Amino acid sequence: MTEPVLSLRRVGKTHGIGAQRVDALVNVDLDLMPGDLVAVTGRSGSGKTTLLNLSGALDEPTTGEIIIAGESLAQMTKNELARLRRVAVGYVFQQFNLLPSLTAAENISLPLELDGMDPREARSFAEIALVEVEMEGMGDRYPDQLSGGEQQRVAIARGLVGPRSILLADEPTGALDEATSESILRLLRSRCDAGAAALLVTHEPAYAAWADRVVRLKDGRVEGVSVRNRVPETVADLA
Amino acid sequence: MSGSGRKAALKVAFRNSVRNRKRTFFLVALVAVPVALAVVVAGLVRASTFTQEEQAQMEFGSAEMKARAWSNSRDLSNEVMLWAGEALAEIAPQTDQLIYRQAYVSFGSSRYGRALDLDMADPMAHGILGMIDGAPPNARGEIAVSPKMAERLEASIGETVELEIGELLRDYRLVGIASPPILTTDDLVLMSPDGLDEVLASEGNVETSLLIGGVGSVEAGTRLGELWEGVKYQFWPEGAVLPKPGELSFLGDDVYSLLDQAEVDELVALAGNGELAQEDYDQIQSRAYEMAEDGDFTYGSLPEFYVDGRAAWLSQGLSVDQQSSLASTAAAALLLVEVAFVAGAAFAAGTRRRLREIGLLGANGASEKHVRVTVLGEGLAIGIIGSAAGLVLGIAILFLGRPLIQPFVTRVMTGFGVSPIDMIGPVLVAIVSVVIAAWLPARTAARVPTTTALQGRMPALAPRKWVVPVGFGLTGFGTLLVTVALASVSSISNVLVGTGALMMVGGVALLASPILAVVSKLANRFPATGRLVLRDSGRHRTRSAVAVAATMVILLAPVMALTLDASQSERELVMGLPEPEGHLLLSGTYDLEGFGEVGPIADGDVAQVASIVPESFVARFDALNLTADLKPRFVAGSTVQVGYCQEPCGWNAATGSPDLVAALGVPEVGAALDGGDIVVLGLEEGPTTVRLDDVEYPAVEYPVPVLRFGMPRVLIPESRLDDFEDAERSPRALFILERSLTEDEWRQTNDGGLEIMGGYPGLSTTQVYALAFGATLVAVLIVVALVTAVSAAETDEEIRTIVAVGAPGSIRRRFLGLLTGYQTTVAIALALPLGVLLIWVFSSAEEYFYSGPFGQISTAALVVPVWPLLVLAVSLPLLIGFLTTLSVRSAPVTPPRRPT
Repeated sequence: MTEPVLSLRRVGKTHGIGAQRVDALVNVDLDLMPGDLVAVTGRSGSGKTTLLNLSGALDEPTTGEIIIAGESLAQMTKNELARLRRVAVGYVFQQFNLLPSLTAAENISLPLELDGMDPREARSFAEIALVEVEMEGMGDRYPDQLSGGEQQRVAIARGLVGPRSILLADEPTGALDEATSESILRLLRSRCDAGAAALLVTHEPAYAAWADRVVRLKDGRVEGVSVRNRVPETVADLA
Repeated sequence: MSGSGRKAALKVAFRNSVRNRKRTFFLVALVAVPVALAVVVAGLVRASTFTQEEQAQMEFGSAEMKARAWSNSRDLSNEVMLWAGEALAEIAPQTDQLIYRQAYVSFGSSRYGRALDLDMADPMAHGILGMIDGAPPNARGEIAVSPKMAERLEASIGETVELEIGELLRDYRLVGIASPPILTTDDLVLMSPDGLDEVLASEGNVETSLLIGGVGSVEAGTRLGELWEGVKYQFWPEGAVLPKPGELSFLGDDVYSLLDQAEVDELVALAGNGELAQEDYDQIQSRAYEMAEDGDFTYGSLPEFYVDGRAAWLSQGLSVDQQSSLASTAAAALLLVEVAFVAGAAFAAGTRRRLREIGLLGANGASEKHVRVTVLGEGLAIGIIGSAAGLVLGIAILFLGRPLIQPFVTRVMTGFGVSPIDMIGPVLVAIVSVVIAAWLPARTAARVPTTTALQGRMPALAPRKWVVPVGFGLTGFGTLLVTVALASVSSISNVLVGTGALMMVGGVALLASPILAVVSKLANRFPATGRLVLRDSGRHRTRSAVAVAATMVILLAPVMALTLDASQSERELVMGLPEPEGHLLLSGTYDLEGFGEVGPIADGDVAQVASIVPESFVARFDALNLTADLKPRFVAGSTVQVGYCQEPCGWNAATGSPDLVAALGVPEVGAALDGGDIVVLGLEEGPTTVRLDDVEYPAVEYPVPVLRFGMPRVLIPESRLDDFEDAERSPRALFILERSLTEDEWRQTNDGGLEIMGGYPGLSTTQVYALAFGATLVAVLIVVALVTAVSAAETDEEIRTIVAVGAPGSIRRRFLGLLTGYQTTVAIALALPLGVLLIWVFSSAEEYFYSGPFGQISTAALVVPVWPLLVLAVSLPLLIGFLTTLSVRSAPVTPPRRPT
């Protein structure tokens, strides 16, 4: 049986202490298998971003356990967590995904180079990733020479470059028009179909429809999980 | 962190530098300028200094030993050297000898140089001088000159030039160009022996040298020196008491040699057998001079004879490499302390702007080390590029500015003017300074949680509890270190003093941050803009504290200078009130044949000075040869100073002539003299006593500023002159102007064999203060402008928000004006105690005493100039704030229109 690439076991996160204590996340269980595209929805303050940050080892849970690629994060040092982010987990944010001083290819190869890979070898991985996100030949462009959609594609390519297999996307279409959003979601879907696993935070029910499962959060708790059997071809299919 | 990972982080750093070209250029320039200045300083030191080898070569030529005889009587010098030559021929006949004479003479009214009669045909002369062109002079009317002098005379070989050497003006035929092997800018004239005789007839002083070379020359020279100790008495005046008693060994030979047996006995009795205190030495010396002056005492009346060896020369002092590299490194270090502060502010502001990028790096797996490397790498790159640019700039200044620099240095500048060793120090200091400046922002950025950084927010700074104790600790430890180091004679004491002083400055600089935090809590009590300023400084403590520290370092200079000046002025009160700038006292004439011979002035002398300063008021009076002991006003040290006569002892009283009273411009003095009172021109008004030649008289003192040296302070009423009829009289003339003399006037008045006191040209105290204030203002403005420029982006975001909610655009000008004024206020509040503390530590560590006719005062007595400092503390922040308000732009009220 295939092992989950990401597992959350009764994970909780509390901010502040005493009267100012806020439970951002309470007893969340979640497994992300290879090929899974899981959407996380909920209102503002429901804990979506906290869940994403914990899943990407950017933050530490107050309770519970997180396992990425078979390794528990609990005992890891800061440097080990940083390395895990370089080799296992990629991020895509709503905007400002790319370092403006690096080209598209350099942005993609950055985690590999930070991990010690030879820059030429890292570049070849970046070229492959660019092809996969349909941006072949655009590797030498700087972020300010790319459209919003193209920038998100580069971010997705970076999120899944080399050995990385988990993509955490926080409202990746929030700053894009509908058509571009659709193309980004299609890309995400296709990368998951090719074996990657992705956690997609969104508050748009229409976009959540591209996911295999939808996790609904409310006040930090999982309110419900929906499983879809059919993935739409276009956003219009959902209408 | 792997090497490749570091490479990736460095790549980000490099790309960031390229992307932020303006800021990078600013920082590179900030580093380059001090490095360039340091290189120029090194070049100037190198061009003004000779190596030990070069100096030895110019002194000894190819000889191993050199004996020198000097006296203010050229005949005596020659006699000594004749003895030396004969003695040498007797003890070491195999050695080679060469005698030559050298006189330091004036060429016209403004240039000075050497005239010498070195025999260029002798091999031992090689190295002292070399003939660059032409031939050595052989006859009285022939000369060879240095290349620079030939250039100044605009003369070529074979031409006849009119040259004024000392008092002698005559035509010479230029037969050659001669120079030391190291080209110097010295004025130098090589003459034949009889040509030099002609010059010496008017110039008087001469140094006669005997070069000793060949086999056994070192032993022979050493033996010659030993022989001199036994025979020197034959050159003493007849009647000198020999041998010199051990009790008077501290007395100079030229004074002692003029004493008779009774005088020696008196001094020996004064010395006694016990240990002498400094005051006893002073008293005996003073008495000995009085005794000697009764005879024909003049300084330098006895010949001096020294023997030096080449080897000893070579073992002395720092090498030029050490001197120039030390100078350049010290210059760079001083300037780069400022650079570190300003660059630190720039890096801090830049890092804050890049916070989201740093968050993005973290999200992609960059560790804390990676983040640090991206900021530090930028600092390193800026340090390397900045110092390289500084080196190029410095060398270019030295190379291209040579025509301008050359007149101020002693060596003819060739090549690039600096050696690689001069560059190492400034470059290292520059790189280290910028990396240190980048370290704190790098560390802070690396510690920001990735999730917080991704939101572009800096976490609120928790108060750093260690800052206050560490600040006080560093200051205290630095003070202790400086005190201990100054008291020790260790070879590393200079380093310890420097380290201690830096610790003191660093400790106080650290306190800036908590002070800003505390003051920001008072923000509620101020109107909107003031509130914003205090809050901004409190919130962005690192940036603000750096600005305060940078300004504080600049302000230390005027605070310390003002405190030193006030303390020095207080100490000098033992010599009387500050000297008036326009007083010029004509007290006698020189006998040009020698030193110290002073004759009385005549009407012609007064007319000569009056013709130079025709607008001056001239007061004629007679000085009386009375030694005046004034009532001491200052008492310091273990013993009470009594009887420290005004210098020179004797001639301390004067006739209270109507001319003089009118010149001094104090009517009360005239009234007192008319009433028959003896008047003391002193410090304050009131009755006093004065001892004149050991007889005490009641007197009246008035605060009247007069020349401290030479001007009689005791005025005798004309009605009482009969009481002092035995006192010798000498005419004097006091010229009073409303201004200082110009350089030209001063040279003219001092160029005619007249003994003249005062009238030194230069800036007045007010002018010096005004210049110092102006320089401080400019320096602080530069620092404030730099710091404001690098942090403006940050404050501008907030100001845009404030404008968006309805504030006028001019709030930006008010805000920045208040901000810079406030930071300057905090800076000066820190600089005041620190500057005074630094001066106190340095002055109390090496205490000595100032003595004068009004008593004695310790150097440890520090005077804090409250009013000047208060004026500085109030006016400077106001001016800085006002100038900032004038120079910055208002914030735009509407966003810029985009092109359609």
